[in-house]
Order: sequence, then C-alpha cells, then structure tokens
Amino acid sequence: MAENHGLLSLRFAYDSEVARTRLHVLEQRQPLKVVRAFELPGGAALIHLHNLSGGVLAGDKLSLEVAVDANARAQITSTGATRIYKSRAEAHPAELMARIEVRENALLEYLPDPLIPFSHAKCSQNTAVHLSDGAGLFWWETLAPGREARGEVFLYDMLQLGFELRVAGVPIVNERGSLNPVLRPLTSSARFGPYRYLSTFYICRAGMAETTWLDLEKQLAVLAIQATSPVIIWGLTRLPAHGLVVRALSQNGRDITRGLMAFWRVAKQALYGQEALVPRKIY
Amino acid sequence: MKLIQLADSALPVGGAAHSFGLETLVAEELLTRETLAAFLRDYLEEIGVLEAGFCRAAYHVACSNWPVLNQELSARKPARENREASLILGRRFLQLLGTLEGCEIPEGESHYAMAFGYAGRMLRVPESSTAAVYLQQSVTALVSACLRLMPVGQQRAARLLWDLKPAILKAVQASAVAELAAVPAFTPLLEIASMRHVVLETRLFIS
Repeated sequence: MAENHGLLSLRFAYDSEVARTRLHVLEQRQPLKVVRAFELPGGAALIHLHNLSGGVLAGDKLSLEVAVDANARAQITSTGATRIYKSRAEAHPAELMARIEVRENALLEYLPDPLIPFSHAKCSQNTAVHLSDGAGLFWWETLAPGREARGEVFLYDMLQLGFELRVAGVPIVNERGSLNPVLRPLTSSARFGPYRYLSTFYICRAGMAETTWLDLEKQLAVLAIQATSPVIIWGLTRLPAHGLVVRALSQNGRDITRGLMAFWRVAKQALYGQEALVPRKIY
Repeated sequence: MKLIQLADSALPVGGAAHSFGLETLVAEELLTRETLAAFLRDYLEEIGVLEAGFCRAAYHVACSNWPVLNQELSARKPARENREASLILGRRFLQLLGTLEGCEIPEGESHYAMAFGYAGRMLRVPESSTAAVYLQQSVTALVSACLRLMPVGQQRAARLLWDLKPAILKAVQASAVAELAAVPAFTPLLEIASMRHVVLETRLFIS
C-alpha cells in the first residue's frame, strides 16, 4: 500500500472588522483535509480534521501546521478516533507531526478523539506547541489500549509519543514516552498499572498570575476527587509556569470523555469567563 | 570516598521526607511488596535513564548554561510534587557540597540529578561512576521509603537493592548514548500518584 505524505497547513486570523476568526488553508495534501470552518458564538472558528484514509497507515508521514494569529480563537477537533493500523514487520513506523503556534492573546482549543493503536501498529507522534505572551491553550489527548471490542489490549508493537510546550521560547513541558508493550510491560505499577486508557489535558494561558493557577488548581482538585472512582483516577498539578496539567488513567474511555468536559468547562470559565462550547458532532 | 558519603541516605538534605509518589501508590494498593522489584526496575528504565542523562549533562555543562539545563529537566517533570522535591534536594545538596568541599556552586535552581553530576565533576569521579552512584542513592531512597510504607524487612530491602545493580548499570549505559531531549520517560501512574499525594488522608511524607 502506498505511503501517504499528508500535510495540513492552517492559519487562523482575527478579522477585527467583523470581530471573528477566519480560517486560511495555506496548504492541504491528502489524506489530510479540512472542509470548512464553523463560526462559534463569540467569533471563534471551529474546524474538523479529516483523514481521508480513514486511519494512519504504516509509513505515513502526516504533518499538521497551525498558526493562530494574535487575538484569534480556534477550536480544532477530529471527525472520529485516530486509528493507527497494523504495520508489517518491515514497514517504517507511521509519523504524525504537529507544529503549533499560538500568538499574542490568541486561544487554541485542541480537542480530538482518542488515538487507537491497532494490534502490531507502529507509530511515532511528535507535537511542538509554542505560546506567545497572553496566548491560551486547552489541549487534550487520549490514548486507547487498542480495539478493545476485538480483545486488543496493548497489542501494538511500538508507540513513541512526544509533546513539547514552550512559552516565549522557555520549555514548560517536554514529555517523551516510548511504549513497547513487549519490551516494557505497560501493566507496570509505574506505567498503566491496572488501567488501560491514558488522557492528558494541558490548560495554559501565558502570563497569568500564579494566584490564578493556585485558585484554579483548588477548583479542579475538587473535580478530580469527585471524578475519581474504582475505574478511573484523576490527578492534576501546576506546570513550572503558565498552566496546569490534568491527567487520568482509566479502565474505560467513557469516563475520561465525561471528565475532560467537566475540567474544560471549569477552566474555560475561570480563565476566560466563557462557556466551553462542545464541538458539534457526536457528543 | 567523598561521593559515597554524598550518596548516603543519611545526608542531611531531607531526602527521607519525600516518597516521590510511592506513598499514594501503596495507599491505593497499586504497589505491593510483590510488585516492588519490577516497579523499581521499570523506574530505572524510565526515570533512571532520564535523570542519569541530566546527571551526565550537568557533569559537563558550563555554569552559564546551568539554568537552561535546569529548565529542560523541569519540563520533563510534569508533577509539581516531584519537580519541587527534586529542586529542594538539589539546592540543599549543592549548599552542603559548597560547605564541605569549599568549591563554587552553580547559582539559581538546581535539580538533584544535576547537582549530583556537578559534585562528581568537582570530586573528579568519572562521569559514568557518578551517574551510577546517583541512581544507586535514588533507588535506595525509594526502598527506604518502602520500608516505612509496606511490610518489607531490612533483609528483603538489601536483596532488592543488590539485585538492582544490573538495572542501574543498564540505565547508566542507556543514558550515555541517547540524545538528552529525546530520552523517553513514561511513568503516568507514578506521576498521577504524585499529583494525588496531597489528597491522602494521612501522610508520612511531605507533598
């Protein structure tokens, strides 16, 4: 099967005359595609990321480049779970790359569906996000164990996950994971333990006072306690600066989605005084 | 000899006050006496390699680049509880080193692994040996915490640490070949445990 070298290069620009954000598609190369932007109340632009292949094939190199200009507000979601298909033993791992820039006083909400690595999948995902002064970010990602309905749990060959967040050039988050269920058992008490799903939610706004984060941490800590149950645990903590990270490990995906929404609603209200608007699709 | 003293668990820097998430794991029955050995090996495979890498980097870094390296390690530690514990221990360690050895110490914040690498250089201990001794004291601290948290006796603790030597050397070796910025360290359950430590009803260790 042919390898895909997809590219989606997007720019969100604030149009002050109409007080709304407009999408500019700078380049799109299949299988990645965006059809149109939807205007949200308040003038933000919502887009859905499409992968016309239906999933990620071995050897694919798929790049997403997003620039959110000063004062613009963008919400990005997917049309469904990102499926990482089975890879032949000799095939190159699929590569997913994202380069994101959120400029002064802009806001990006990146709220995709889970990543599902199929049995024998091999994939490397690297994301780099740069925030300028005053820029905000709500970014979540959920990793599923595989196609659970088919009994696939941690049967992928290799997943390399990298997420880097910088604010004005200073590293705030640099998370690197090499998940190889055969060589490094994921059921370890250091890794997943008895859980199967992992979710991470970064909540950032560059330049906010430390007291803001202390207050928000207290509010979200209450949610974390309430949302924790025998099948899911939530934790949250302050990053070195400019934000918080919320993390969950769960035995199922449903509770994660519900929890992410709850954290997002509280954080959006606290940081922007606005309601979190759930992307129009399946929720 | 001097570095061995600095690696002693009785060193007055406060290492015994932190469990780095273990207290939560034990309280929530996610870490038991039976799974402890595997946990420690996995810890060395992930965090051990990362910290040994920063220990090595600090061994070589000029003081002017110290804050940059320190920021990079802070970014690798998402859980505030672990990050701040590492910074507190690192600063105290450097102050003690400066007092004992009479040497200059880097200014500003310093993670423990980096402070240890700096001490190895000051004491002219080879880089790999410095990283190995650092990891030895790291896992010793974890096992000491477990002595207070679960039914693990002194004999069993000694056996655990004895059996971890190959894993320590493997982590040191892995830290030498990897590009520091790309070294993986995947321990989500331990991180969440660190984050949740503050909400435990009773705590032996500080958050």
